[in-house]
Amino acid sequence: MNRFSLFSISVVLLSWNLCWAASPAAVDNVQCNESTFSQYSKDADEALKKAKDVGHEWSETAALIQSAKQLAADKHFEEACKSAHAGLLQSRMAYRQWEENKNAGPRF
Amino acid sequence: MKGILFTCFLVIATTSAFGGDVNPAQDLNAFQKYFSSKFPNLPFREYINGVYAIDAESRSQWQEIEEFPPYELSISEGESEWKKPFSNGKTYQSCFPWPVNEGIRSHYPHWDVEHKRVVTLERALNECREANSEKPLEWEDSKLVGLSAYLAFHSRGKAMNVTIPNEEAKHAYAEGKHFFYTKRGQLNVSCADCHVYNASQKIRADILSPALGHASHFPVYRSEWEGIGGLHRRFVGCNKNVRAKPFQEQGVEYSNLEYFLTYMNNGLSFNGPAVRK
Repeated sequence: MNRFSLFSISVVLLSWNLCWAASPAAVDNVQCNESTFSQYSKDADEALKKAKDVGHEWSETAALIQSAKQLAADKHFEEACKSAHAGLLQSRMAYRQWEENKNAGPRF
Repeated sequence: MKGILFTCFLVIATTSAFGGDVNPAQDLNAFQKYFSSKFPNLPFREYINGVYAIDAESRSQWQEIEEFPPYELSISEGESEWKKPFSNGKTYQSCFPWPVNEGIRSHYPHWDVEHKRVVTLERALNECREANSEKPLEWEDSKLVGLSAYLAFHSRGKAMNVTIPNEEAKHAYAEGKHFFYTKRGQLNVSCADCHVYNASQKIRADILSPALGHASHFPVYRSEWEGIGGLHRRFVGCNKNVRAKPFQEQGVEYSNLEYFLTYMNNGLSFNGPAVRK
């Protein structure tokens, strides 16, 4: 196997991984209903807890997830899924922010 | 073998996360040196005036405000509260070994060896109340802020001299340091991003103050608050500004941050209470 093949395989694997990691972004293509929302809401709650536990919760995320639940209660599932998904992504980014700052220190 | 590897991993993780290699004296030197290079013409003692030390126009406005300082009422309220006996007849003075005019403020924050935590002035005042069978005050209660203002006023000119007496204190210092340099919130900004690397730059209409001198002048009367508040209230505000969920005032996170920040200010003098935008 030459270097080019190895490189190509790596690129394909990396792209596949990135797509997999970003899979919830498919919210726009998914028909949103009570059951879909329920999954989004559960994922968002779990992600928020994870960010909260490490002290990196963003200020608007909990309200966003809460508003999603209210929208779902009012049967506005499309909007509810979008809000829950936004809350999920925010929480994931907050957690990632914590990971990236584990060794934060002065830059001088 | 697995156990040994896991232990090694834990030791490395703990020391790297909480600064097993932390050297506060070295940090202090680098921190203050950074600012003296950034503002080569600014005398060291001037840092306690924040933005007013680096911007002439803001300074002249501030000097006018200081002719009739808006925090005076708070000092008076604090003085009355300080002298008012608790129901058991004792006063706040009974909890502090130093007389007011010897600068009680300048002894805080410090490391409490017995309870293994940072003690801030506000916490000490509330613990004094509890020790005398009084209910603790809310952290931003005007009585507590007044007491802090009164004690700060009588500590003006005293040098900041925070000490780090043992490894546990060093750990708290390291956590405070880590907090200071950690990016937070949706805006992904750390305390240092604004108040170290971008000090003196404008953020919208405001000029970012240098972190050196930050702990010297609290509590402050802020025009934005239309009132007086403590350092932890300011931390809450900063965290909210970057859209991070703030921590509890006087909780371990902000207390450790205050400990670190005040240590970085060692050598400067207290000049609270003060006025800020």
